[in-house]
Amino acid sequence: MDEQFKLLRQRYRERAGERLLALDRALAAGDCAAAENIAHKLAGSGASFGFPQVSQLAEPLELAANAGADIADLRHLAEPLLAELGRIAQAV
Amino acid sequence: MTIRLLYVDDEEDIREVAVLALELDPDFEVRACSSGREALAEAPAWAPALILLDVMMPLMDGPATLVKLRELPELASAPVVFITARAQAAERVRLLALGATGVIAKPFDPMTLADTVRTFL
Repeated sequence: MDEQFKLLRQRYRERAGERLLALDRALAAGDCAAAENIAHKLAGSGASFGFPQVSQLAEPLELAANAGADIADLRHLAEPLLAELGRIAQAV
Repeated sequence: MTIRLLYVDDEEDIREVAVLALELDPDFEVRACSSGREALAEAPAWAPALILLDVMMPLMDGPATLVKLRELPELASAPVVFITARAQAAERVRLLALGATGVIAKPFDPMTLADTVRTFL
């Protein structure tokens, strides 16, 4: 389990950069639905791979998008999540 | 004793970690599907003892998949457990009212997922 889990964790880490870009693009395009979808996936996965902050930071973004928050608020909420994804991606 | 499980989730990462986590239980044999449609095609022959269904999936979500699974005679009474990142109380009530046996919150802990699933068998 340990070795296999390490591999999965490493793969998740490698994909953090793609997710950062996808979320950043969605927010730049004002696409709240896409931002919600990405945040949902991050909220539901991060902690399972040993990145609890990803889940913790993504959940409020997902909930805000689902509640109809405007794009400026979503961009503000996304800042720490984007920073965390960047930190994880840089550690690859 | 082998216990067959079917895990359905559109996210590849989660499918992989879920299969790994579930097979920590030596009795579990897990098949994973990436969509509700794939699950409907696979489930009759696989004959799982329990089905784990992600709620939010494109094209056919978890609840819609559950409805279709119940139309298959082989799976009319198979326990179905939803996996969801939206596991607040009201959502749990809604999912259980659809006929689910249980609800597991995402993100799950890979070290305890198999034990949690055992409680629904």
